[in-house]
Amino acid sequence: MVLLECRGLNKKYGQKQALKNVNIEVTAGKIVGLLGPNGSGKTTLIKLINNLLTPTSGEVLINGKQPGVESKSMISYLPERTYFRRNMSVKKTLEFFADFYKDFDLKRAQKLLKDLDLDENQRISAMSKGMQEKVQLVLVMSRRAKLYILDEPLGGVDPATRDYILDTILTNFNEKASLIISTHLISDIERILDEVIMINKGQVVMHEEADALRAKYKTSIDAIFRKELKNAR
Amino acid sequence: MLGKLLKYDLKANFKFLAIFYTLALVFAVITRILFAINNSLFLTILAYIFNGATIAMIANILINNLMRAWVHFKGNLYGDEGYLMHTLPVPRKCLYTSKFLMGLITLIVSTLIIAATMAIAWLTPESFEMLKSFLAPMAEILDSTAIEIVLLMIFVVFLEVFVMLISGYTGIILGFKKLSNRTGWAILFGFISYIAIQLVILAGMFILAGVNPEIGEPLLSSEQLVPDISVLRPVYILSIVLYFILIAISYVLSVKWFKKIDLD
Repeated sequence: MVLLECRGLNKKYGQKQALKNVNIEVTAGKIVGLLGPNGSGKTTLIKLINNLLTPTSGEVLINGKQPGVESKSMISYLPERTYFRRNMSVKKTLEFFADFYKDFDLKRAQKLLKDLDLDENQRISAMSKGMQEKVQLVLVMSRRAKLYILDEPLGGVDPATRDYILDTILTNFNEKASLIISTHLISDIERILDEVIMINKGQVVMHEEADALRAKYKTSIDAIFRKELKNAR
Repeated sequence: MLGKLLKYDLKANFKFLAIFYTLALVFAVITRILFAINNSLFLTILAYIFNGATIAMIANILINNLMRAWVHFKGNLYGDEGYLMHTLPVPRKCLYTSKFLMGLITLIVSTLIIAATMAIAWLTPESFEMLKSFLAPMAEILDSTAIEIVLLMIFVVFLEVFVMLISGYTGIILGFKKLSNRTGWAILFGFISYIAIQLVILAGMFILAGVNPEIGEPLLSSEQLVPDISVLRPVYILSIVLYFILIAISYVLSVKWFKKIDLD
């Protein structure tokens, strides 16, 4: 079953072409790595999928439907920046999520917060950026969504927490759902990927299964990515 | 969902405005007490200081009501928080409507607090009688009471301030469609939106002056004619009707423009 489909997707900022004729399909039950150098168009693609940008042309379909209320109830999105109301406490933020998302599992969120040593009563404004990112990840992974989209989820956290986060992602996401994870820390996430989408200069340059890629090039995805990037330059 | 959005929007705004409400009311009470005692030069000076502070707080409530609404609108829908708000499973129209209603409700509460502050600080039987006698000729001609006249004036001023508030919203929506210098564009578009509404109201008044010689002649004559006070009735009615129509048009257009966004 195709969960996400992009057809002839283009995005221009004035004269600058950020995405050029992107055509991708993501089926249910896959963990997809969205890889690419800085400024390659990963975040633009993710924002288009989440209806945070308006495409110049082309379309995005989530479960066969255009972005809207229904698609938003299916997608659990972790942006690269923290989006909390800073004067709210973690507890109030949990209540906010429970208010708006029917699929939000409050008990799971509370357990994850406890595991990560995060205090529910603490104000967001009193937390470090890393702590805020952890809270945000907990909120996103505590939804029982059909599609998880994580934009640089490991960027601001220490290496020790990265493993915990990856395990959290793996143990908390159901087999019928899909997960798109955008990162440049490829070696960290390589072990969990089913598919790889490589994007450069706004174009999809590679979309293959992770195992097939490793077999084809007889090396790690991290090494393939570095090589492809070097060739593209 | 609109109710939930409105709950969070109102909480965010009232948390901030409550400080000014409290200060205004406290200063008004102190002013009242000090003017009532008024038995030494020191207390008289103090009374005038608190009188000034009360006036400043009233101005603060009005200014901060507008500023806070605009800052919240921009931060909540176009700042980092926008990443959360625009990915909530609610129609985009609901996001705007919630802000529209939040603006309306906070302005109503602010108006009531200002009225209460003024009453506490300055309303005495003498000042009330003075106001009544001042408005009596107008009330008689318009076949109403002095209180009704005051309420009507407050209502028109309220609509005017609300138009300012939603013009700011429209400006932000249009300004944030641009690729750069978005805040600058937002201020410009907000100003244009406000001026456009004022020009339509002015045009409406000119049309009214054209069809009603009682209004038209004093306005258009080179002689210094004083218009009859009774012309205020059609002027008020027309301005209120126009405000309602323009607020509705502004709402419809803003919702339409808000459907397509490009977050930073």
